[in-house]
Amino acid sequence: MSDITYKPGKEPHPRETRRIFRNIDREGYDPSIKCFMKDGGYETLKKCLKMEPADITNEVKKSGLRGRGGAGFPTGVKWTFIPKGNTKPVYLVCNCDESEPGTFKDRFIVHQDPHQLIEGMIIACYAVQAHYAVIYMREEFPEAARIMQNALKEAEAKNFLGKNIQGSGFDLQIVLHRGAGAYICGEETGLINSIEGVRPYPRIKPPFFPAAIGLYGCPTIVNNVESLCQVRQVMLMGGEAYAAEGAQRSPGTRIIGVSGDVKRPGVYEIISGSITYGELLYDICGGPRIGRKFKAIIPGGASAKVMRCDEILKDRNPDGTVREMTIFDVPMDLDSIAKFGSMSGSGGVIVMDDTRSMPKVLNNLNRFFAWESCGQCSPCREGNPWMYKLSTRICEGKGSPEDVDLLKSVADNICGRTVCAFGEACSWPTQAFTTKFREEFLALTKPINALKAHSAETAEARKFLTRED
Amino acid sequence: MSATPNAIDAITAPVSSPGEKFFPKFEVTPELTAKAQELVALYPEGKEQSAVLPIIHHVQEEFGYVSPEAMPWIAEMCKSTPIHVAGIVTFYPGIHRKCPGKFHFRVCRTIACALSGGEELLPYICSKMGVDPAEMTDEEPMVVSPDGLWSLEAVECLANCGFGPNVMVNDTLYSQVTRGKIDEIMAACKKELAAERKEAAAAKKEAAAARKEAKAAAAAAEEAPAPAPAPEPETKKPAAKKATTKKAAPKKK
Repeated sequence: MSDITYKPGKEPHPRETRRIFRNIDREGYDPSIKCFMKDGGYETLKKCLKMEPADITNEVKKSGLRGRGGAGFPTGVKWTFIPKGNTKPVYLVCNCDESEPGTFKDRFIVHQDPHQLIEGMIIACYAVQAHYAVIYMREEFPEAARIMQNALKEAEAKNFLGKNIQGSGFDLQIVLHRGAGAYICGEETGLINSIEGVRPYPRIKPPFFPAAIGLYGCPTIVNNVESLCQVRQVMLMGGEAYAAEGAQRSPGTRIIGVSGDVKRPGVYEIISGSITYGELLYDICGGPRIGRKFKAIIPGGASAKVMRCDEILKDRNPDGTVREMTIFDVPMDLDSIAKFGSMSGSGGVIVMDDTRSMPKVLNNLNRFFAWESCGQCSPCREGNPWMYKLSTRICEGKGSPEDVDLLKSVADNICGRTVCAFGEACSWPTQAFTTKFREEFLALTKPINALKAHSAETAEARKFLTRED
Repeated sequence: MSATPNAIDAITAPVSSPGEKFFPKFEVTPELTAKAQELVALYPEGKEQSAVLPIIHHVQEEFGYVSPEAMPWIAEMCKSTPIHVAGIVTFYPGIHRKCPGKFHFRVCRTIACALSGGEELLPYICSKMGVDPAEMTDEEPMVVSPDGLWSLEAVECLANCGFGPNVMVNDTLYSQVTRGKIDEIMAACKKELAAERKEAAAAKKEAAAARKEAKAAAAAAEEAPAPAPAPEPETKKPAAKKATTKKAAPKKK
């Protein structure tokens, strides 16, 4: 590893472990297949093609690799959900619709190291015996689409794609499909509908998951870009070696994107659980800007629940005693933060310092969710614009103290009442912000506002109910 | 009764925009059809409908937006119905039903970019483009400048959150954008336009000259009816090229 030099100013932090990001911002590295193969690329694939597909799945299962899209579902287990005795074609879809605010890890992989993803995809396709795969890329990556299209052509020319790959008798075609700027396409069933060419409304999942009935009604595996790159890493290192590193329940490396009010925002690849949030923000990211203090952290993309920096968290030690800590002492793996009511999701850490107004931050998030709701389920379609309206009203100083409770109640009534996880994603921020920063919301409200009409229509309707004198 | 438009007519009604003069009008050409068929062939047999987004993207690249005339053609290409295509077009925020300007600015305003000042850029860009910020609403976040050169759209997350504020101009992403950088970008765009216009003018001149030559040749041919002198130089040229490559070859050795 020591022979790799990085571009000046882009060197990894000493506490980082670059595996997936090994070639990101590397001196003299370009996305061509030549460069990738000089670095030992596609060697893992050649090795895998000599193995039995079931052995690869077992290896990935053994590694304990968990999906990096946000839900953290074990990748190997997902692959085994394909019904036994299946006679239909199997499809594999790579989810490159990175649209969770705060997450920006996949961008670097598809722009700078596309062949790593392609190799991971071929291995995964071979493991599940898929002969047709789709990369679903978001529309906002036009440059990456060109790079990826070119990379696919290069791989086909070298017979890593197409018919009879490297003489193994395995055929595979990968198609690049571009989205069109909808957040909901990141949801796997919405994504499948988008590829089918219908409106990307998510499908009702239980009892049939995409692994049983997915694209065109056939078994479909949907994996995130980073997950597929990690599959390649697992096969490179061996499942047991991979499982031995990092947090016990979420091994391997994780790519964390830090944005917001820190000195050095950016993407960092760390061994899962090897550092805490405090070490990430103070050591790697250089702490808060001069003269400011950290106030709140969203630990896993915009839909994760916000954490107060001065909140005392209580954790139980192995011997039963209670330990008090803050968010800065929580290790960065997939599960630790979940104990305190939030989630680590896709690894997008958004940091806010003491100059920020929390109602305004929530208002921004509410606008995002109101704009991105697909409109299939009424609680979400109607509830999100309502929450946005309420938070706007509070921010403008026209809200009453009751509005804060109403805001939370709307969120409570969306959560769990929708087809997909968007219902939770949109209500968690509101629930967390209004409970944890309640005093800030209340400070902006006035009790008298409860009596005032908020629109011309209400004023008209109330004309006969209120006394002018 | 018949005069009242229904919802579908309202959706498919043409929306005029000053940006249209920078893009060709939608027209079905053999090349366009061939491209569409090529895109359809990427998907499994019988799943032509999957190609609806790729075809829409291609149409948008060529003509700037998806016009009401384009929808039935797209439907025909992917064996779907026009109303289905209209449903797709109206769903995605990345598909335009109104023609954007020559230089389309997309400014991210979601949380991370907002924290670093993305929203404050919007009024500044508006004033630089000469558009009214009040025109930009939550329902219609795109505005086009009266000269059709610029358009501005407030979008949600461009997935480069660490390096905000992010602005995308056509296909290029600019990060850590400041007001000064906006000025630079716009100046570069103007330069690009001037260069393009110069090129177009030169091409026009060339075409005109070629036409003149052809006219003169035709006139000459009328005056002295010599049988086809044209093919001769064509056959000479490749021979000359071959000779030069032959000469060059021994040098390399």
